[in-house]
Amino acid sequence: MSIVFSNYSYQQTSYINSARNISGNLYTQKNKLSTFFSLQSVNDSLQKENARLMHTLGLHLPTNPLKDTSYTTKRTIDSVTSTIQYRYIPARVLNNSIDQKTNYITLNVGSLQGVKKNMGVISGNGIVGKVSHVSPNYCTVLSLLSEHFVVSALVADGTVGKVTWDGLDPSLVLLTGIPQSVKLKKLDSVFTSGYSAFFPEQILIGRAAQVMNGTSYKIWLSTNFRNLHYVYVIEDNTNVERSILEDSTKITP
Amino acid sequence: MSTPIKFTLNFIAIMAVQIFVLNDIVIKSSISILGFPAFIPFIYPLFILLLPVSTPNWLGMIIGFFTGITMDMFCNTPGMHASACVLLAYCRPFLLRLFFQQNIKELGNTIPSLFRMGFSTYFIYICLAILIHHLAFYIVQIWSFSQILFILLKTLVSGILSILLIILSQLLFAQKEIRRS
Repeated sequence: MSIVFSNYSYQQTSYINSARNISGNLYTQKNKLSTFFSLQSVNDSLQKENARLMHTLGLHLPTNPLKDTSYTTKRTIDSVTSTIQYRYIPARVLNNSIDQKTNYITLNVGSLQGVKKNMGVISGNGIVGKVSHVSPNYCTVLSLLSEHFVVSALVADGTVGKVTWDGLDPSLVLLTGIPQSVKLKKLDSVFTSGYSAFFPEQILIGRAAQVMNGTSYKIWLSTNFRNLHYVYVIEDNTNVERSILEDSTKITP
Repeated sequence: MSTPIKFTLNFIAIMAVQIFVLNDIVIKSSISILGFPAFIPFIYPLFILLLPVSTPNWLGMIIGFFTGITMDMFCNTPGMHASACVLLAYCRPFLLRLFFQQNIKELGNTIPSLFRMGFSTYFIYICLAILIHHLAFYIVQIWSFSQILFILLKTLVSGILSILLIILSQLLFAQKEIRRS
C-alpha cells in the first residue's frame, strides 16, 4: 500500500512504468507477432490517412498552395532558424490499456529518437495523449483516457472549452465550459486549440454525440483507442521558448 | 521436477497468458458497448492460490508481492496489483482453514486443485479469493467513495469472467497432477 500512496500523484510514477527495458523488450517481441495479423486494417488506415494528407496538401486543388501567401507566411513566421514549427516522429504502439482510471500507452521510440517529456502524441485520426516518461528506446504516453488529462478544445465558431474523460466509456469524452449561447449540433467537429502547449491547432478530437446540459457535451472520439497501431509524437520547436516565457509570467504576475 | 522449478514455470505461463492475451482482450473486443465499463479478467491470482497448502504465511506474502509487482511493471500501475496480491496471500490461509479444516493436515504439501478438493468447495473458495483480490484492486485503483457502485460493478463483471477462466483452466490442467501423483 505504501507504494500506492507515495506515488499517488500519477505524474511521478517514475520507477514502475513499462518504459523499463524488460517489459519494453517483451512487448516489442509480442508486437512483432501481433502486428502481422492486423496488417490489413493497418494498411487501410494508413492509406486513408495518406489520402487525407494528399487532400490537405492540395494535390487536387487547382491553385498551388505554396504560392498562397497566407500559407507561406504561416510557415516562416514561427522562428528565424527553423521554418517548420512541428516535427512528427513516427512511432508504433507496443502496449495500450483502456480499462483503468489512468491509462498509459507504450511506444517504441525514446530519447535516442528525440522524444522528450510532455510532447504531444496524435494518431492519423486525432489526438492520443502526451509523453509522460522517456527511456533511451521506449516511452510511455499518458493517454487522453485519463482522469487528470485536460486538453483545451475549439468548436467551429471559435469558442474554447476543455475536454476531459469521465472514466467510463473509452469512446466518449466530455466537453465542458461551452457558454449557453453557443449551441453545438450533433456531429459538429471539435478540434484542439492552440492554447495547449502540447498539440498544434486544428487536430481533430471528435464529434459531438449528445448534449449533457447547456454547457457540456459528450464527444465521440475520432481516435479509436481500441485499434491504435501507428502514432506520431509531435516535437514543437518553439515549445521550449514558449514554456519558459509562460513560466516566468506566472512567477511575476 | 523439483518444486521451485515447477512453480517458476507455472508463474511464467500464467503471467504470459495474463499479460499477452487477457490484457489485450478489452482492446480488441467491444464488451463495453453493452453498457458495462471496460474491464479485463485477471487470472494471475491463480498462481498464489496454487501454492502448496503448507506454504508458510510469510513466504506466501512475499511471493504474492513479487507476483503483483511483476504485473504492475507491465500495466503501468504503481503498486496496485502488488497490494491486492499481498492482501490475497494474507487471506489465503484463513480461506483454506475455513473450507478444508478437516483434511488440511492430510493435504500437507499438495497443491489445492479442483479434483482433490471437490468441485463445490473449490468453487466457493475460488470465488471468495477472487472477490477479495478484485475488490481490493478496484478500491485502490478508483479510490473514491462517490463511485462505490461503480467499484462493485467492475468487481462483479470482472470477477465473474475471472472465476470462469480460472475454473476452465483448472478443468484443463489440474487433471494431469492427479495422474502424476
